[in-house]
Amino acid sequence: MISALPWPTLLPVVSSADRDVSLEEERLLVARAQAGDRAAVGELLHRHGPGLYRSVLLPRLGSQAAAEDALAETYAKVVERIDRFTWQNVGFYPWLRTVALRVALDQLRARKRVLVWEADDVAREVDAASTATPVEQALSDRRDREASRARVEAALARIHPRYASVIRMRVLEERPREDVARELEVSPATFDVLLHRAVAALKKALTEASPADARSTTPTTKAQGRRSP
Amino acid sequence: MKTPDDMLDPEAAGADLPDLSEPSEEELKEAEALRLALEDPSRANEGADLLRALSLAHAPRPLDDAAHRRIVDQALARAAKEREARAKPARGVVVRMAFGAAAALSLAAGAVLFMQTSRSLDGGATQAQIAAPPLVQVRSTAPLFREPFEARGGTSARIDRIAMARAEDLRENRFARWGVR
Repeated sequence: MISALPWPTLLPVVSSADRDVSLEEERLLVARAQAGDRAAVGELLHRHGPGLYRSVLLPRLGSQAAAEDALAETYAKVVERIDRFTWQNVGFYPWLRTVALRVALDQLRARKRVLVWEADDVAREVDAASTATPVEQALSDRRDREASRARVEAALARIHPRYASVIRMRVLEERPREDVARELEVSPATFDVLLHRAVAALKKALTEASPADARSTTPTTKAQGRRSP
Repeated sequence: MKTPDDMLDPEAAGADLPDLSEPSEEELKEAEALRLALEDPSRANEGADLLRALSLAHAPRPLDDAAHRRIVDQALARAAKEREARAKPARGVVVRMAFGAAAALSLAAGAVLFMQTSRSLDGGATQAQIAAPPLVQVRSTAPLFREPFEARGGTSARIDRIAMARAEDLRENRFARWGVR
């Protein structure tokens, strides 16, 4: 697995004047793109695409290949429909994110395997995008990342704490199998069995979790309801 | 060395009764398959896919610059190809017009061309209308108030209700226009 990269926890400080200049620049880019300027479309996609992939598509779709497919599909839709976009003060990103969420939703509906995000969860996000006040990309990215992490924690809180710690050490912390086995005082072969059981428990928990549970259960509340080992 | 069962705390075990049995042959095989699939992503394994999805939801990796450039270029090239494909029939009409400029035929050709163009324009408008999602129309506020009005007060609440309903209509219409509904 690729090593985890640290996430910044604070938003970059951007002055109001800089923000206005950047927004005005983007507004002009959008106008050029809507007039058929391909370079302007490319510039908009280069500006917002990597963040969209990392904060929205990859966490929801759970694989690089699926997220790249969804990004390509999103771009195709954006290029085709950019003339329908109406400029707002928060820029181009909220519209791009909504298009991407719809593409992700279609992919999740077509998929049969259990993942961290279910189609219903993303459908609710699409609804929220149509009612909530749009926000600029930095804030939106932070919210999306926090939502994804909260989902992971909520999923782990639904399984036995020992299983959760096995997954946490091996998968989230990406520690070598032998290290984790040593720390748990088991042989590597026994650790493999534990991890296998942990995955089965996680799959069961994700399958059984109703949409209502997923919404209302936070890691804290769930952990409080379970006895600590 | 501990067994898998020793790993499970007996107190916490009561919470969701985890499997306390010794691993079967089949389970050992599946555990081995999971280990191999985690080490080699090209091996298909549902459990490994779930663990990778969990990892990516927890700490998503950035997209490689080269891969992103390729995706953007493909999207733009695809759009250009589609635009070209749509433009081809129009070019054919222009060519036909040039050849039909001969004196005796120009008037007749022009008339035919005019009729064809206007017919295709009508067709295009109809298709666009069919493809465009319907917009919420202006309508009475009466359905928002099923209960009888109080003799005094409640004006602000009623105005709020109308404003919220109309704000929702406005958002719906915007999303319909943007093509994201």
